[in-house]
Amino acid sequence: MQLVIAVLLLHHSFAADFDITKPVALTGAVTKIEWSNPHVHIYIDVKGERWIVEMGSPNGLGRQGWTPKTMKAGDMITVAGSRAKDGSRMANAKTITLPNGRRMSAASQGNTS
Amino acid sequence: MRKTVGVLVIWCSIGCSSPTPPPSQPAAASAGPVMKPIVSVKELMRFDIDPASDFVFDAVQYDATLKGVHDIYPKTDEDWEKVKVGAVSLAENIYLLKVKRPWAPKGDVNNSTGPNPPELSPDQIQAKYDKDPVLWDAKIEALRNAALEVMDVADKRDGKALFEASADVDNACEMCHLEYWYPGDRAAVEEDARQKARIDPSARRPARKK
Repeated sequence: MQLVIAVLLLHHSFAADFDITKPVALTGAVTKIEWSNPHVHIYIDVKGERWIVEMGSPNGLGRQGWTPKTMKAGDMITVAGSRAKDGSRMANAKTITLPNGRRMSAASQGNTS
Repeated sequence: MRKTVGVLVIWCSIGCSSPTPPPSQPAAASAGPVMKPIVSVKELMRFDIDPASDFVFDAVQYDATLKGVHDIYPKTDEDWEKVKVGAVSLAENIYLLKVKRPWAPKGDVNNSTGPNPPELSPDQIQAKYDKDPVLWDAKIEALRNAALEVMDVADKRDGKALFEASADVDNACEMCHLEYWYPGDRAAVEEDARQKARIDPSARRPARKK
């Protein structure tokens, strides 16, 4: 948990904290969105497990067509990305599929498709 | 006698009118104190610069939960004081990176080993610095300028401008990190910056059969 917090707070390289060889696909309900610099984070409930998903910066997401209101709490979404190297329930998102079927880039460095 | 008085007047006009330096005048800037570093660049970032940036980043946020939506931004004098603390710390302390110091603690090679090392080793960073020391200073100035922007926003109590100013701080940090810390991420970031509203079309229409 301590490392998760450290990853959340610090600027960091993608490859230092996430393993591109460990892809994850998570489908769950959004419980919280934190739209702030340097990274946007969303919290999703996946079958009773809380996952923290890191996205790009607000400006980076804006360039991909995101606004803070593109997703809302309660939305069922699917995240495709890479799992944290420490094995915690944290992931770096590559794409996010919204309830309407739109799949959008999560503007994460090192995980850009 | 008249001649003697004249000489005294001349002597006094020279000796008595010479300016006396104000007692509180600091030493000349060129003879400033020798700055002796205590920690490495890596430690300075972790224990000083990064925590200072959190005063700025954490001050402005859009939060959405099942209970509702909250625009978080400084409201009270105390809130704005924290932003100013962060901005001043960033603007002043980033100059500590101009003081020669080790890149990392002794024996720490960063995450610079393995088949696809994500970070540069201290030796690689030193080589980049030696090749173009002006670039290092430019990166420092970029963050200082972003921090000055935040200071201005804090003085004006402009909550709307704070988000953009914090994004500028983030950008200045990231551009330096992509140069000296994890340049392997640069290609992805630049690709992201080039593209506009990239929505994967395969999610909306079936792929063509070949």
